[in-house]
Amino acid sequence: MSSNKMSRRKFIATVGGVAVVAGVSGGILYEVFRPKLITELPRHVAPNAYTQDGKSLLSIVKGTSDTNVETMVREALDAIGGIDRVVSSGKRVVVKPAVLNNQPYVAPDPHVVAEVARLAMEAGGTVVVAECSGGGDTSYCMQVQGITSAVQAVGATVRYLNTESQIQIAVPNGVTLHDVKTFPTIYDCDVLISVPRLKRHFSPTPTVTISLKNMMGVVPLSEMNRFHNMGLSQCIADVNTVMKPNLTVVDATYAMARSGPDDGDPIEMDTIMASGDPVAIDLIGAQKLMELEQQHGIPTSDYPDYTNIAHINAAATLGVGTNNPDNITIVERNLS
Amino acid sequence: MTECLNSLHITRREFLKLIAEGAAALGLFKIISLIPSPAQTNLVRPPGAVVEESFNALCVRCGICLEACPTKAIVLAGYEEGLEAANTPKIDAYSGPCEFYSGRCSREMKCSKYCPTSALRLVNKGQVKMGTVELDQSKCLAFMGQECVVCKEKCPVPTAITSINRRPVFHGEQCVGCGTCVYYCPASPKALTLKATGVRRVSA
Repeated sequence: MSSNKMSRRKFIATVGGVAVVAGVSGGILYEVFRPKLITELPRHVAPNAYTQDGKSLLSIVKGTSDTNVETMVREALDAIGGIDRVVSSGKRVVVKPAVLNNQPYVAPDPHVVAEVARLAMEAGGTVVVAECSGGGDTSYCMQVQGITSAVQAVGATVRYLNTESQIQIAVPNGVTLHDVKTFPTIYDCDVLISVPRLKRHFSPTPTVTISLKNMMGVVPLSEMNRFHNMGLSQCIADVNTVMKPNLTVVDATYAMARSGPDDGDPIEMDTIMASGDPVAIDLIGAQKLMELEQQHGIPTSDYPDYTNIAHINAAATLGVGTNNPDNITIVERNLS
Repeated sequence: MTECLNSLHITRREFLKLIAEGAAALGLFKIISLIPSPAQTNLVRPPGAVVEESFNALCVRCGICLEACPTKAIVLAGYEEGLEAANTPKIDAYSGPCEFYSGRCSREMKCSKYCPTSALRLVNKGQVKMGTVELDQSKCLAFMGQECVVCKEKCPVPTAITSINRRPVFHGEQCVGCGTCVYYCPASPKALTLKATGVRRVSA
């Protein structure tokens, strides 16, 4: 036997040693780089900036069918104190339109989204319009709805969240949800602006889909599925504690009444609403929608009273906003 | 002849045995293919597919339709679907929703557009019924008391799914079989299955 030949004992010892070192270092590397639950709240979560004497400000701008939509958006924001209450120079702003699918009158008017993006850029923010559609390919739906082109025309960036990596964040005050997956774009933004359309949501319980429900689009599809298994209304409220829009602009130029979120009747309303309180705007939106339906003779006996909508009240209980009409100051303006 | 066979080191007996075995195997294959496979008739085909009787003969198994499909709803049928149908395209609604009725393929079905033979044809979407979706109430979240009628929300046909008493009701005759509701069903396991019943396809 030559001297450089390894003995059986030495060979086994070497292999064993290498295996132990590889196992331990692999474990350490995994521990260092494994995706961790992020316990810090997203940067944009802040108290409502649009308040007056402790009450949430809410503007309702009514125009006519000839009124320029952009003017109505500017007027609505001006009525509650302007976009610069939340957007200042260098802030990363995410505008979240509610683009469920490719059907007409489902998404907000592209002009509304583009005008909000333009105003945020004018105030000095870097604006990203981001969405993760729940009913189709996001990029396709955004293009069909005309939002991609309208937003790019004013110089903002469009991001299709379904193509992004996912992170998991804690929901410290959640009742049902204790953690939720979201996207770095949403987690890292300084200002979150929600731009939904005023719509009836008829399934399964007659409810509304405005700003609170719009936040279902900042989580991946797998999470939307999980919410349906866990009790949807409470999950919507829980998500809004960590993905809390600083400003909501509701497009009610045409509201979707009777049914929804995509098969209702579009009814001309020529209204734009804005508020920093997503619960207040959902409550008042639900009220206006019911009034509109009653005006147009749509039977509303099946619908719960607007003060009795589960996810709005659940979100109010969690402190997302106020569902007490006495704590909401409504500023109405008529343009004609 | 004998020299030739000798050079191959094969005896006449072995040679004849090989020929007989080959013939027997071919015969067996033919017999197997004649047995009507029950699975074969249950295949949900891409929207522009011709009738099932002509489909396997016209399809060249090139897989271009799989590449063309924007939602990856088309997958290859396996050998368990029968020898004749193996490697032909089928719709797997768990893999993706077919957008022929509403979406990226509503104007022009991409799979049909790129099909090099006439197994998949560019037809009007109104002529097509790929299959019918069936609901298993024991797996449905709405029947377990959850707030869910996602299937109704995602369905591109206005009247194919309605909701009564907060539960979905399927109207099979209106269903076009696109599988969108199946894909988006949040229940696990899924409460919906897409079956090739009541299909309407173009004849060859």
